[in-house]
Amino acid sequence: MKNIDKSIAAFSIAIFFLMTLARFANAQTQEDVGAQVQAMWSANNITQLNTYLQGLLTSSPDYAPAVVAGAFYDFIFLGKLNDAKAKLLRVSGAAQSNPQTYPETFTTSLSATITEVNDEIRIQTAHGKSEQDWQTNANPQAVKNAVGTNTFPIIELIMATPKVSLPSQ
Amino acid sequence: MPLSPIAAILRIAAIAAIVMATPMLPAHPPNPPDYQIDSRNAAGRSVSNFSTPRVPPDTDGDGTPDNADPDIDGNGIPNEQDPDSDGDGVPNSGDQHPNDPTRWQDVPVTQLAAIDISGTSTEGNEVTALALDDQNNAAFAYKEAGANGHVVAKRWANGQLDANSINRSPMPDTQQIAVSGDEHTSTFDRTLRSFQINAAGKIFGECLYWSNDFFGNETYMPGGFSTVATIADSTATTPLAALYPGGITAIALTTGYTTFQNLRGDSYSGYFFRHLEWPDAHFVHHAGTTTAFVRGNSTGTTSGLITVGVPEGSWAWPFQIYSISENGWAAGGIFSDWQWSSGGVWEPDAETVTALGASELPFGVNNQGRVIGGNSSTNEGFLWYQGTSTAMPDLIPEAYRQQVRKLSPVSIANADDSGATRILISAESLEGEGSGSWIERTFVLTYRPPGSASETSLARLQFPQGVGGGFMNKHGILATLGKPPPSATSTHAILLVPVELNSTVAVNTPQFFAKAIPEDPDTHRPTERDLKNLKSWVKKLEALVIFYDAVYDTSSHEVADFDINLACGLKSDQGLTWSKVSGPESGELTLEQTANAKYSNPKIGGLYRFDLDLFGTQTVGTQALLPLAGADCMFWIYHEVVAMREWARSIRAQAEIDCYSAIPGLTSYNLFRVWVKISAAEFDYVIEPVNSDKTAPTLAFEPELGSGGGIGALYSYTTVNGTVVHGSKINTLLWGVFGRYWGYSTSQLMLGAQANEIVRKWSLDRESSQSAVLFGGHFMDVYENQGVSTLLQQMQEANWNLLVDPVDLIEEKLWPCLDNYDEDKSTFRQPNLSTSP
Repeated sequence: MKNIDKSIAAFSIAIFFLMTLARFANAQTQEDVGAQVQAMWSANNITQLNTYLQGLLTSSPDYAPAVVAGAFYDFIFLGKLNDAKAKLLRVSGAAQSNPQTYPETFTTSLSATITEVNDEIRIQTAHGKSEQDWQTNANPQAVKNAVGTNTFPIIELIMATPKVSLPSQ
Repeated sequence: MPLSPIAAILRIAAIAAIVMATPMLPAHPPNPPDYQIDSRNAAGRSVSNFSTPRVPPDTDGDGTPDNADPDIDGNGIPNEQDPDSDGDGVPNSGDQHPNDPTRWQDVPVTQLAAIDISGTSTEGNEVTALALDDQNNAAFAYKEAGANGHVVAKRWANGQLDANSINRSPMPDTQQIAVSGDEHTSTFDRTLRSFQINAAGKIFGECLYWSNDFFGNETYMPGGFSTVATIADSTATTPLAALYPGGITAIALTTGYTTFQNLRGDSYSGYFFRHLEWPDAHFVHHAGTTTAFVRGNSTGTTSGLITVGVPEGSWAWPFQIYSISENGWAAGGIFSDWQWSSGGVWEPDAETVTALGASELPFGVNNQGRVIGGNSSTNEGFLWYQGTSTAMPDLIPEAYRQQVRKLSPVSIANADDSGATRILISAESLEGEGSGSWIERTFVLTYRPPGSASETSLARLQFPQGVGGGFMNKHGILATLGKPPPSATSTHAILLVPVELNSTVAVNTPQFFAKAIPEDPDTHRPTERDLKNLKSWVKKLEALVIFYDAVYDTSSHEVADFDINLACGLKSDQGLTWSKVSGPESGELTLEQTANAKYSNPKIGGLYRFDLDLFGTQTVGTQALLPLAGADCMFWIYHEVVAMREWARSIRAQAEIDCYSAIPGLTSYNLFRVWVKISAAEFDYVIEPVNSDKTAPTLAFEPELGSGGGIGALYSYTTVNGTVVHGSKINTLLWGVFGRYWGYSTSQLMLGAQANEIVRKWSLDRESSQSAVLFGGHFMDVYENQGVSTLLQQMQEANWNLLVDPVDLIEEKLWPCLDNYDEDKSTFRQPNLSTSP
């Protein structure tokens, strides 16, 4: 980075650093979903992670980190982009209703992730891909291979999600 | 004092090795013993006998010399990151030698302008005698070429040489100084010495010649004459030679006193001469074991001779009186049994002598009875006053003691009106980084007695080529011999005069000038580190520097009134003219026909140049720099914001193509990586707004672009709607606009900037940077929602001061440029951005 003002931009790495700070600020009274996901993702245990995420929403349907993890599951594992977006919007709605619980750093990152999912939908659609195509093409292992050991923004988002319950649907 | 007292004591203790060396003193001295300050070892290398040896240049003792050691003080912090890299207790920001633990403050340099008072008329003739008084009257003398050439003396005052000169032809001509020796058939040469001018403008002088003595040895004999004359006064006195053709030498002269020695007599005799009148040949002969130094009584009549006593069994020769002040103090040598006994000081009209300390040899005395000299045992210069001698190294400010050695006083001036006494000193100066090297220089010690309002100070004199040494008067003007560049071959008489600009609001006041055309400040380009240590940086610039924040009134938002004083040390107004040569049309020059002119109330930044015309014969150029930021580039920013939509969208569209993958998640991840790459490494505009006459920006305060990493290396300082803004903030603003078109919200972009700063520095992002992102996001929204007119209006109404960062940058120091950028002379370049990870 050549300059503080332009290197602003390490943006993403840094923004997730802030989210990590926010994560530690939350009491770990419930299952640390983010840590679990991060551990399996880092270890490249995609199958194990698939199993874990499959059961997570069933066991904790209103637990905010589980909902964000569910969005990750829909997005990367299932190719269900609209479902992923819906889950993120659910958390976003809760955050707007209860801003004291959700740090600004988290909500800002959440909105950025929603933007990225929207962009993905728009671009895929522009390339003529249907929802069925998305699901067919979903390949978490390929994504993991592309990300490698780098930070993956949505997993950082899971880790930064306040450990609170959302209002039941 | 940057060091703690204990550290200072240790430092001094560590340097206490003094080599004792006592030069041989003549047993029967026809001439005063020489004071040797420059001892040399067997290899011919200069060795300091009394000053500080340098601390070995491996401070941490790790075997790596400091100049190659990445951690000089061995504290585990690399020099580049260490706030005090040499561990001397002085932070790098205030340390002029941050990588040298033995030095932290340079001796300030005073340039003196040279006035060639002998001029071309003496070309081919070597000026050998000079005089200068406290009224700035000067005189010089030279001998004409040829075996029987005349000795010519001329007086200079206010740029004018007296029409009548003193020369020999024929004798006895009361207007002339003659040289004798014609009566000798042996080989001879003539020289002048003991040449002085008194307060009334009268010149005194004497001439000696070299001759072979009866034994065939070349010896120094008093030749012919000594005379007192005034050039302007046609009633000048009779040359002494006419009265004493046997040979007389004046060995010290002053307004009312002079002493002479007839060396051809069988006995040692003294003669008194007073107030330009030659009295009846007073003759004092002291045969036997006692003798006397003879001089006049300043309050008496011509017959009021006094005999000044010397210690029993001792005696003083008139020619061993080295200096007599204008009011009658005398300093010289006392002899006993044909041996040097000690130095002595005679008070005016007193009949007693005060012996100096052992081995102390006086060189000069002033009207206040302060005596300079050298100690032949310690090889140290000293200043004596009322019975107490102080070694020269103990007089100079402590911060300089590590880098000045071998201080030998050359001459002492009378105290000025403030009580300060200037002492001209020859000494060695440690220069250069790392191990450095010792270079002989000339200094002025401005001594102020204890209890004075100001402290004693030291300055290094910087002359034009070929000039050094000499006699200084109480105004700090120096008369010296030299060869003025570029083509003079003979020695001329030179007056060195302080010509300065000063101002209470300048950062480097006073600033001295010596050349016809001072160096253009823009020949120096700073690094980012230079700009973090501005006080040191401005020392490189040959200009009085006034920063904007020193005169900008934050309540009235106007530049306050202030003066720049243009001062010439000659004091007299005659023949001096100041004129403004160039610079912005702002401010007023007054008193330009005087030595001390004034330039009042400039309100516009830029380089103001003033010439001082000296007697219509030469010019000294001076300049005041009110450093300018780059030209106003608000309209360029406006156009760039408008153009950003198309440009940013095209980059984004291409990136979406290049990043596409049918695998869900990969496309957005790839786009994210492109964004990070662009932001971290690529989004760097080149922004160099220059005005039409290329006076802005002032390059001396613009870091060389692309010179390295860190703040300031990539961007210049610019003006935006009348406010100085660093280019990095404009770049951040445009990054904010670009980010909005990329798809992020303003708050997301601001958080990204904030988070990045925390990660990198564990500190919050500067408010100015956050404001820049906010400005960018806001301008994008305004443009998209309200159109170009509103955008321009809001840019004109924006508070650009929010982008000023007084901590890391120097925007507040620079003067805003009132000109818009010139499209042809400015450089604006969009960055090349990637569209693939």
